[in-house]
Amino acid sequence: MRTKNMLLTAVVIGLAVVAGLLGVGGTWALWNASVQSSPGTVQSADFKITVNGSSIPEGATEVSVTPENAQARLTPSSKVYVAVTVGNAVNAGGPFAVNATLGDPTGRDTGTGTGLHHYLTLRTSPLSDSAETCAASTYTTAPPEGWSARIEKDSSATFCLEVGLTSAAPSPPSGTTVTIDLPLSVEQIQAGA
Amino acid sequence: MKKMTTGAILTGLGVALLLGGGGTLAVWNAEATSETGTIAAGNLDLKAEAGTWRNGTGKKIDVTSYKIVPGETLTYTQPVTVTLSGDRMVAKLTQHGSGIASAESNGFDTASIEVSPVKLTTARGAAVPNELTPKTNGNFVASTSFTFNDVSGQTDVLKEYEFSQISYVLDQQPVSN
Repeated sequence: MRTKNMLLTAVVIGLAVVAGLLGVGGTWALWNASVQSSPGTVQSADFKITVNGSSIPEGATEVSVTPENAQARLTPSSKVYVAVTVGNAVNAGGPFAVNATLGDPTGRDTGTGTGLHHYLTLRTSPLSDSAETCAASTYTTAPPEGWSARIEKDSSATFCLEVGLTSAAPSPPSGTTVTIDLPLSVEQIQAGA
Repeated sequence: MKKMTTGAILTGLGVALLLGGGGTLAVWNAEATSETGTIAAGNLDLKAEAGTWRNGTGKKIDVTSYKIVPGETLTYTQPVTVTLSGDRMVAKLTQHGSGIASAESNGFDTASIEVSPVKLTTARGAAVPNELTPKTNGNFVASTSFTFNDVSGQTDVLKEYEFSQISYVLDQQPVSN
């Protein structure tokens, strides 16, 4: 009887120790300490490239630009100039430069298809001085790889497109329009390059 | 016989009175106090100070506002201070966890990034000793880096990667008695 009571007491004490340890979260381990690190969250930048002040929507393949003088009319004796200003508005945390390259322009008839685009003369040029306008630019033959310009973050570069009409062009019906495709590619320049 | 019994009882009382008066029946004795001193426990503590993010140029950045671009590597370093005391104290410093991408809908493509394991070194860049003692405790450095690989098109613009499960643990090692 006495032995049974002793056993019961031991069991009760054992349970009390376990319950007490669990209650305060203690362990039988040796000393230890731990600290949590919170480095934070890394975020990537956008790739915000603007053309004449407007962002190119992600995935877009075409943006429209209009002549510098919206009232300009194309005739054999008067040319039309279009400025294409490419802006680097990427919100990168560090230095970030892009290379903008202009391809060869091509014209195509829009709407009725009068063949006017065959009589177009198209030339491009970078605008070296932002204070100038495209009309005053000097146009030379574009290099084979096309005109290109390095554009730093928060900066822009302007290319000019001169559109002329040959003297052999027939007199098209008033309001005839042509669309000129001007390929533009913008690539990130590797840091340090 | 009755008198003998009474005498014995009185003798017994007399002895009892002696005891009550603080006397002893011992032979010569002496007493001395032992100066055993005070036992003091050692210490084991671990602190991680605020870390620092730097970009590839070594410039300190605020990662909450910094935007990474392809080809860039950001590095995080964090001082970790170990305090150990105890004549036979031996402890081990380890790192647990790594970065974890945020919600999949806005997380990086894992092929676009490289996240280095968190590395613990001494302040001079040497490997942390496997066993730390009070002689070797002090300041250590934890570091990890995040590289945004070259990608095509506009892959992984406006994505996030969260480092949220990194911890440092200092464990005392068993003492062999």
